[in-house]
Parts: sequence; C-alpha cells; structure tokens
Amino acid sequence: MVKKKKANIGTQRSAYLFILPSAIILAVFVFVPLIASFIISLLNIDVFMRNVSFAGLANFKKLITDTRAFNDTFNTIYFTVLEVPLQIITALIISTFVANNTRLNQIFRTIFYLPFICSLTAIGIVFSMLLDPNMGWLPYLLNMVGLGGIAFLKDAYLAMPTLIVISVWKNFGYTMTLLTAAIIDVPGYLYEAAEIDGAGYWKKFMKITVPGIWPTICFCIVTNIIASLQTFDLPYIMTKGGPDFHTETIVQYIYDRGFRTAPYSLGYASAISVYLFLIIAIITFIFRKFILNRREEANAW
Amino acid sequence: MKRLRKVTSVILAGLLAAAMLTSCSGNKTSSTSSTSGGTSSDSGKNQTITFWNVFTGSDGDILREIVSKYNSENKDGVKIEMTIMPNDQFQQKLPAAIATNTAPDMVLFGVEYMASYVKSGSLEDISDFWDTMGVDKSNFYDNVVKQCQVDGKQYGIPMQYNVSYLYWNKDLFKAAGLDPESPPKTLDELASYAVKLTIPSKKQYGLLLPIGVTYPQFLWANGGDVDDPSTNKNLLNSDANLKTLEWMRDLAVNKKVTPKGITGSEADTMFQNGQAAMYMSGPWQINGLRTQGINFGVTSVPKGSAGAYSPAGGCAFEIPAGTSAEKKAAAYKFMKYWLSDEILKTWSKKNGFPVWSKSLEQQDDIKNDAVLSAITEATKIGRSYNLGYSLASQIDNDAIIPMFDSIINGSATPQHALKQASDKLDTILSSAS
Amino acid sequence: MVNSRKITAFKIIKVAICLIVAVTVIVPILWLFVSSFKDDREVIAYPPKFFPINWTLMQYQNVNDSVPILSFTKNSVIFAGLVTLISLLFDSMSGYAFARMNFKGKELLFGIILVTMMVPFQVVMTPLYIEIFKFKLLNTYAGLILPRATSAFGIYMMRSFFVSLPKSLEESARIDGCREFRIYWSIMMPLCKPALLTLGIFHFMNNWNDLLYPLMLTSSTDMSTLASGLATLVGNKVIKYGPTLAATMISILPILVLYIFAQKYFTAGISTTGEK
Repeated sequence: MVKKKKANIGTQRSAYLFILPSAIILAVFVFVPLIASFIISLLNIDVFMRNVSFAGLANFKKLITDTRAFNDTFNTIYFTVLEVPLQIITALIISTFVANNTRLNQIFRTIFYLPFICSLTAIGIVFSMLLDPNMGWLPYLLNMVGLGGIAFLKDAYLAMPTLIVISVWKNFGYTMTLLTAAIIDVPGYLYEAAEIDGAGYWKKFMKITVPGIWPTICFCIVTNIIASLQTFDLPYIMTKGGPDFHTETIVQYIYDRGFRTAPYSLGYASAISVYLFLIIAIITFIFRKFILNRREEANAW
Repeated sequence: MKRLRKVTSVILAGLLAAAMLTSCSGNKTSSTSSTSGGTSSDSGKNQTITFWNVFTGSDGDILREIVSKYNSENKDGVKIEMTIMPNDQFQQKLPAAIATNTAPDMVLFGVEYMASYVKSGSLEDISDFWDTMGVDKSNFYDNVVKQCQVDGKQYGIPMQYNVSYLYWNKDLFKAAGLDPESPPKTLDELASYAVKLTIPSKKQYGLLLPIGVTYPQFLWANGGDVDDPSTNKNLLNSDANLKTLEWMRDLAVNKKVTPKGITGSEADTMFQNGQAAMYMSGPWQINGLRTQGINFGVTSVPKGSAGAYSPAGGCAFEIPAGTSAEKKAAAYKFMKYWLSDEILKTWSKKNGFPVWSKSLEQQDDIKNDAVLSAITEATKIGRSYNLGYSLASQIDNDAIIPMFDSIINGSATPQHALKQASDKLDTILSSAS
Repeated sequence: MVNSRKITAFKIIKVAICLIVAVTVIVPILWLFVSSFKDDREVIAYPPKFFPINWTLMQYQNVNDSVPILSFTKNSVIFAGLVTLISLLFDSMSGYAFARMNFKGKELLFGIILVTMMVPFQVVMTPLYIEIFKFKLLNTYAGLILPRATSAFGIYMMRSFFVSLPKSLEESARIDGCREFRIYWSIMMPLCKPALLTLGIFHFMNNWNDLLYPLMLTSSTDMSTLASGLATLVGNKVIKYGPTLAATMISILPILVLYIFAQKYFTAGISTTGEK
C-alpha cells in the first residue's frame, strides 16, 4: 500500500515533467499570440499598427449588426453540419471494409490516403478545372449523357454541397487511417465469441467495433468539428466565397477584414475570431459533455 | 503551479501586446538578410538592398533576368536581393514587417495599394527622386507619374502602367461574318457584336464578363461614376448608372453572351483557347494569346455617349518607411536604371505593356510594333478609378464588386443592386476620417 | 477482425464499393498527373482531353529553370522533418501523461490545450510574427521549428490512442518501482507505432504543404520552403496552369514515397494483446 502511494506521488511529479516541453512551447508560441489577438479585439488597430487606440467593446458592437457575419455563420455551420457526419460515416464504413490486413486492403488504404497528402492549392486547381461548367472535363462528360448544365461551384445552391463533397474526398482518407488502426486493435477473440453466439454483421459492428474504437471516433468527431468550423482554404481557393457570398465562411471574413479590405482592421478581425472561438468552444463543450461522453471508464471524449 | 503558469502567460501576453503597440517606430535594426554583409556605410560602395515584389509567373521570370543583369553589370555598386511572393501573402507580410522594422529596403506593388500604406506613414516620401537622380519627370506621361502620388507627394516611382483593353478574336469575327479588322467602337456595337458572336451550340461566347471585378469603363462611358474621392461624395445612385446596369444585365442574363459566374482567370483561359470572341483585360493576356496561337486584335474599350474611358493601373517602386539613407540612395540608382529607355523597352516588348516614356515612344521599333502601338494608343483613355484613395478596396470589395456580381449573375434587379450598393457606399464614406 | 475465407455476397459488395471509391479518388489525381505532362495549349484546351496527345517534360523543365528546387526541398525537409520528429516526441509524452497519469489540474490543462486549436491561424499570425521578431528568431530554422515543436492536435491524438490501451499495462511496472520515463519509452512507445506513424505523416504533410506560415517567418530566398517557392510560379494576373501542375507533382512525390514506405509498418500487426 505504501509502495503504491509513493508511486503515485512520483507519478504526479513525472507527469508535470512529461508535459513540460509541450506546455512551455504552447504557452510561449501559441497561447501568448492567442491572448494577444484577444486583446487586439479590444483595440482600434490596423495591420500597420501605427495609430492604436482603445476601442473597448466597439468592435463587438459592430459585429452584432453585421449581416455578412450572420450569413457567414450560417454558411460555416451548414458546412460543418454536413461535412463532419458525412466524412466520419464514410470513413467508418470504408475502414470496416479495409480493416483486414489483406494485400488488397493495403492497396485500397494507400489509394484512399492519396487525396489527403495533396496540397489544397493543388486540389483547388484540379477540381476547379475538372468541374468548370464551360471547360471542365466532368461537365463535358455529363453533357454527353444528357446531364449538362450542372454548374457545380458556380451555382448558388450547389456550390456549398460541392465544396462539402470535395472536403470529404480530401479528408476521409486520414480519418479512415485512424479508424482502421483502432479497429485492428480490437481484440479478435471478441468477434469470435460473438460469432459463436450467432451475432450477425450489424450486431458485431454496433456492439463490438463501435464501442471498441469509441475514443478514436470521438477524437475524429471533435477534431473535425473544430477544423470544419475554421474552414478557409478550400472555399477561398475554389470559390473565393462566391457566388454572391454563398460559400463565404467566418474565417474568410476574418481574413478579408484584416488583410484584404481597407481599413485592414485587425481589431475587427480579431473580434470576429473571438466570436468564432466562442462558437467553437460552446459546440465542442456540448459535444464532449452531453453527446459523446457516454462511457466514463473509457475516458471518452 | 499551473495557475502560476497561466497567470504568467496572461501577463506576458499583455506585456507583449503593449510592447507591440509602442515599438512600431524608430530606426531600422540591422535584422535584414545576412548574405554579403550589406552594412557598409561608406557612401554607396557595394550596397546590397533587399527587394520584395509580387511578380510571380512569367512576368517574374523577365524581372529576374533584368535584375540579375543589373547585378552583374551595373557600375553603381549596388546589388539587389530580390524575393518574389504571391500578392496575398505579400499584403499580409509587408505591413507587419514595416511595423517591426524588418521590411525590405525597396518594394514593388500595385498602385492601388499605395493609399493605405501612405495613410499609415509606412512609405517614404520619394519626391526628391527626380532632382537627386537627374531624371526628367516630364519625359513620362503625366498621368502615369501622378498616379504614383498621394496628396501631391511622390511615394512611388512608376514601373509599369496599363489600362483595360478590348481584345477580340479575329477568326471568330470572320466566321460570324464580321470584319476581322473592325472591332466595335461604341457600346451599342459591342452589344450587337456580342450577341452575333454568341453561339450556344458551339459553346462560344460573344463577350466575357467575369465576376469579382468592377466595370467602371461602362459606367463612365454613359456619364456615370462611383464616387468622388476628393469630396468623399457618393455618385453611384444615378440614372446613367441604372441604364448601364440594365444594359449589362440584358447582355449577361438575357442574351447570355457570357458564361455564368466565371472568374478572371477562367475568362483568361476561355479566351486563350478560342471559346470567346471578345474580352476586356490588361496587357498580360498578350503572351498567353501568342502561345496559344490566337489570331487576336487589341483596341481601346468602346465609347458611350460620354466618351471612352478605361480604368488605369500600374505598379510602382516604393521605399518602406525606416529604410536608411544609404539604402535609399542605392534603391534610387536601380529605379533610375529601370526608367531608362533600354529597360522600359525590354519590359514593354516582352510583356506587351504600353510605353509611357516619351523618348521611348519615338523609337522606330516601338512605332513599328503593331501590338505595342495599338496598346499604347488604347492607353490614352486611361482614367483613375479611386487610385490613391484609402477607401478604395473597401468600396470595391463591399459595395461595387457585389453589385456587378449580382447584375451579371442575375441574382438582383438593377434597381435593387444599385440601391444596395449605394447604401453600402454611404456607410463606407461616412466612416471616412 | 475475423478473417473468413468465404466469398460471400457481402464481401463482393464491400470490394465493389471500395473500387468505386478508389476510382473517384484516383481519377482527379490521375488527371493531375497526366496534365503535368501537357504543354500550355493542351492543359486548357477545349474540348477537354484527359490524356495528353503530346507528352512533354517542358513544365517540369520550366519549374526547374525558374526556381532552385533543390534548395527549397532541402529547407522543406529540414523544416517538416525536424518539426515532425520533435513534435512526435513532445506530443506523445504529453499525450501519455494526460492519458495514463493522474495529476492535479489535468482536466483544466487539457482544456486549455484544446482551446489553442480553436483560433484560426490568420488571426494569431501577426502577433506571432512580432513575437518571433522580438526573440530575434525571424528567418531562422529555430524560429520556424519552435512554434510548431508541439501541437494541440498531436497531444489530443496521442492521448486518445493511449487511452484506448488496456489499463493494466503499466500498473504492474509502476508497482515494481519502474521510473515513469522508462515505462513510457520501453513499454508504451513500441505499442503506438501506428499512431506515431499516422501522426508523423500528418505533421510532416501539413508542414511540407504549409505556405503561409514559413512565408511569414522567413524573408530570404535561401530559407524558402518548397511550397512558397512553388507558389511563385502560379502567376499574379494570369495563372500558369502547366508549371503549377508540375510543381504540385514535384511537391507530392516525397510524401507519397514516405507514405508507401510507412504502409509496411502500419500493417505489421499492431496488436496489444502481447502484454497480456
């Protein structure tokens, strides 16, 4: 008993040492700029940082009546609500298909991972050229089978769904890799036992696989939500927020206010990012506490 | 322990923020690049100056050639270290660099960005360039020199100049029964030609109208305007403008002379592979068109009842605030080199950009170059669209571009679009200090 | 999962679906690949052709002539490589601590770490630039690598992975008086090879492809990474598709090679039943 207690105290001290390198780096290089940006939201300051004055909550007051911010909030949430489930479910299903370590599965896994390692600029150019209704190869093909006229990224209502599909296309490979690794870790004997009991595929999936990889699934869901709410590169490269702001996300607006449009107000841009941060924090918190935290012993997220 | 760490971080951040805000002035520290010790302060002997610009792509290649030739051949004792980056990243990086005194000694970017930099005191006044270097200011087109000035002071030395031109595909003209050597001269002709040249079955379009850009040339041709920078006045909501917008909408939405929602670069591509008959763009189309073997012509944008005008633009060399006097003197030497007939001629000939040096204009091989002389002629109708106006990007991004977008996309009626843009413009102008 | 030898209808459906997905994955990338061998006219030709009529290396030639590919690649390798290695170490150490050790403030600290993921880079970029400037680390490898030497995402992921390992693994070692670091190094690390590999590739790829971050923090060409170097080919007013496609292929190649090699380790059996 005494040995265990000693071990515990030693563990505590070691724990702090273990997280020390990360803590220092995060504190200095991530946390400090972050706090700085929150402070900036209370200032009147532009990118040139010359005439700085205290603004108090003025930037936030302006944000409350900003219709474009609302439009972008809607777009961002629209994107997230569709992209995350679509990606996770697709990845989950595919990973159960390719979890076995057969040669064929290994080839499939390598292929599915490919889109993830391409840079977004490349993906942007490739899909812009492939989907262009006037010059693209895909609409050209569709036209030949009579399905011409689909404007994909140029259509106000199709643009966001198209972006969502492209995002899923790009990212599902990574999620799939994580889930596959987790599935492989589920002890085989559990399945054997279930099969002896006569469990079918669906039962095995829901009662063994899913609970077995639940921490990983939760991780994927949470990180994907956080990332999706911050989507910038994909719409910026492919549609620049168009047509008519239908695909503009919050981070695009932040970037626009701070760096593209006079008066290059870093203060206002930071205020929007505080607003976004609150959205992300609240949604993540809700997910953690109420939706995903079903099992205490698995320390699930 | 963690709480202490957290508190320390917050204090650190606060201090940092405070330090940031108070440190943005003073002399430049020597934290610039370190290759060949450009720190000699003895009057201009072997100065190395750092130079940032946004000339990516093939323009950049030509610029690189010119700079390296200068480096190896010049007798000024100046060496240029050039860094090229995309415009987006450049506009993010340069302000922060100037604020921390880590900016380069010389920069080159579009004149439309100058106003904001000048307003925040981020550029050096270089009005003394002409006299110091003995360069005759009057040798260059007056409007070119003026568009690099803000409030009468010279903040940029012109590097290139252009307006928007009308390109047309001579082969497509011929195929439609139009005279390939006669481009449309008036807006009415433009419209009727465009309709004639639009053949949906062949996916051929008469006149490309990309979104994400502005069309002041159309507004001006009919006697309308956007604003008056000198008085901060909103001129948008006028009958003339309404007529213009209705005309544009008719062409884009009803007559479908342009594909829906194309971007500038997509329009470039379509014109370059012969899918469109007419397109308004800058001189940068020329090289691409030549590569693709398009039989093209270039002329000035058509005129309306109030005349023909084309929005002017260009790039200029600037000196960020805080550059030392020696580096500035060295930079001046390169700028003088650039303004020589020889270099301006190289640039114009290789890029198709118009000539704006009177001495160069007189040269025979300039006069005999068909495209160059057409372009130079078409440049004479250049007019400033909010150049040197610090609110320019906000006016465009928040009011005018969305207005034209909705007209071309057909997502709003001209009345509605005009009113919305005008209201937005009022908000923007009223916030002007 | 159980490896059944039967060829059921279900198995056929599985393979069929995988094939369809594989096709949707391959086609755009194949298009990218073959288009990088088209000359300028063919790249944007209409009607569009999938395969080039005249295969040419001119785009690659162009890229090679325009930018010092080798120097950029070297910088990218150093940057992405070091960030990955250091980050793997720090992330896994922290992840392990959060997952398997108990200490005061664990939940709070982890919450704070999560929070750092919730602010977009565009916003912290300018303060970070100023901070690196004040540390006199602008335009240095240290300045590039230090801020990325650990990441909230990595810590979160490693924690997730460690949490899913059986609990009893280190208890016995602890009771025997083993020092924590030894437990971490000798027992935990070998077990998380796939997680490390996955995270490693993720970090490497993100930093390899990152454009804005290295561009902000470096100012001289000899420090430029591949991504920023290749971005200068794209063109300001007119996009040059040909060289951009070739540049993309050049950029993808190293990562692809890395990934194919890593596949071997992924699939080398990662069962945790060994300890039991």
